[in-house]
Amino acid sequence: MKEIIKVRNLTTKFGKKIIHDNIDITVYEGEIYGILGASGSGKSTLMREMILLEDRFKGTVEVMGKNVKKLSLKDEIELVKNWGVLFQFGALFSSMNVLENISVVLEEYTDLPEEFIEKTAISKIKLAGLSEDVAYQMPKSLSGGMVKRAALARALALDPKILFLDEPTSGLDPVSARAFDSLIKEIHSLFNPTVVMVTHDPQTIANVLERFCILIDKKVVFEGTFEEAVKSDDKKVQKFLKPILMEIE
Amino acid sequence: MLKIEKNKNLIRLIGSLNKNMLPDVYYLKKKKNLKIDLSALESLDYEGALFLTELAKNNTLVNLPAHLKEMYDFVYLTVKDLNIPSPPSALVQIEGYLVRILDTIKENTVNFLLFFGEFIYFLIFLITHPWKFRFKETAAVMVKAGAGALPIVGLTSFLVGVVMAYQGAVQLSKFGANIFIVDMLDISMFREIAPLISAIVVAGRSASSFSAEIGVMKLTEEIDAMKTLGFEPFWFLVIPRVAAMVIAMPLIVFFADMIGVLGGMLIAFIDLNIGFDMFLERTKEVLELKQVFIGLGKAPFFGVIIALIGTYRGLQVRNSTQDIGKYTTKSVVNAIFWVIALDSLFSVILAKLGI
Repeated sequence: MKEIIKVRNLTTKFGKKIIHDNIDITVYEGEIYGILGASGSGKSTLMREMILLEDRFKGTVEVMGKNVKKLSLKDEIELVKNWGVLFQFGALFSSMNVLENISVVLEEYTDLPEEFIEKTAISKIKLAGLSEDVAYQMPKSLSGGMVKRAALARALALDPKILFLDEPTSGLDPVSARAFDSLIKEIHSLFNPTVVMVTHDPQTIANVLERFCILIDKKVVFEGTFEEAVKSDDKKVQKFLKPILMEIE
Repeated sequence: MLKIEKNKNLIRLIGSLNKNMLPDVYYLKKKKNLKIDLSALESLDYEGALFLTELAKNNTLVNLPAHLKEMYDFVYLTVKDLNIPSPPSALVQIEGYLVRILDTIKENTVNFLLFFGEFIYFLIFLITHPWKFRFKETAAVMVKAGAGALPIVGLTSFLVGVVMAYQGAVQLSKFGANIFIVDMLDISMFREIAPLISAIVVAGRSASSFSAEIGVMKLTEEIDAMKTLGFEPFWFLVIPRVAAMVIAMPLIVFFADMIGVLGGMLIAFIDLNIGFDMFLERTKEVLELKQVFIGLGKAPFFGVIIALIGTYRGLQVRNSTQDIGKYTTKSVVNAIFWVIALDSLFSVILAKLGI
């Protein structure tokens, strides 16, 4: 399998506080990969380093074969077009309605006629599991779950090769969370993007992720599939998995 | 790449149909009764599939390759009964706009009355329960909004003093009335200019920071958290700021008085040859203590209005980041306006009283 994201010898320090201590992880093309760990273990920071939002680190982070620290502005934009990011709280542009939030991406990067962009955007709103009627609503009038779906629609606007999801099911009720899980799986089977997500949700970990890494005490203590993790005899991994296994039983 | 082969009513699409290629074939959408052969199509993205479903309405698609069928079917199912909502019409928008303006006026009035009522309530509470007063918060605000403003207030009033002395010097030296520069500078600086300048600078500095601080606290639900813990936001956020500004403003104004006169003194010395000792001697003769106290007396009122407007606008922030910008702007504009309005009110009242 082809590697799509390669993190090597990564050390992150904020002041004197060490976040990551010399960690390596690899994400292969087309898989659903999870970054797990307790709160404050630097999961979101790791993801932010992959998507060019954080550069206070030593070591190399390669995304699609490009070292993210050695990019010209032009390469950066070319690279950014290949991925969609779903932020934890949606981060929809508050000055635009839902439709504009999605169509602005297509308007910026394609030469498609306006009516076609509108139709594409509205169909993506529907694809993300929202009613078409929310198209002209402003983000502040949407509920948390609707914001997440609208943000997913925006992340999907350019048919990304990599989809980064930051805690996609946090803040959703169990029913919506499972629906969101199956939506992600459906999108994955259809468009086959590589999905990288930070998550805490035991159900998502057991049912959606194909491979994952676990960050504990600044180190990656495990990288592999769920079955491998269950069989692992590392104490830290077992301690981390215990509540998850109890939850899914 | 995408190639299009035409043969009367038969169109063959060869290559990949994706969102970058679509503009080349978009014209096909207007045609009817074409037979579109897709057998040589290699890849298809979401937009491409969506375009094909559009074409299928008036034309016939044939030979869709098996590996693209899944994508096509998925998109077809997604858009099959897609209803495209129409944007609200112009008339509805205008109506909505007018209704919103009226609502805002109504809401603002009610909100301000509620806010002011709460202010009076907590003022009485403060008088009856002085031991509950939040000294620590007040002191922190005094340092940040009071002492922090000294450099810029000092610089501004120094420059204003310089400007006034220069302008006065030209006129006065025409009549050989050089020494009157002292009268002019002293009285106007202590009574009007220094209080006004410092209030305007502080309004720009602190009204905005109060609004932004409280607005962000509202967005991050900190204020709600305070309420659930039984900490009344008004008591913890508004009263300390008002109290701090009431105490700090006269001190700031006094500082501005001194620096402003110093600026004038310097120019008087350079331009009109009035030495510092002569200046101070004359000051003793012409400057009544009344003038100084009028200036200092206005300062607490400016402080109250700045703190009240800053916190009131901050608490109006609701649930979007845009609100922060909107209400911060409003708070600065309102605070500066009310400082000037209050100052002119004082002028009228004091003139009528003959002071």
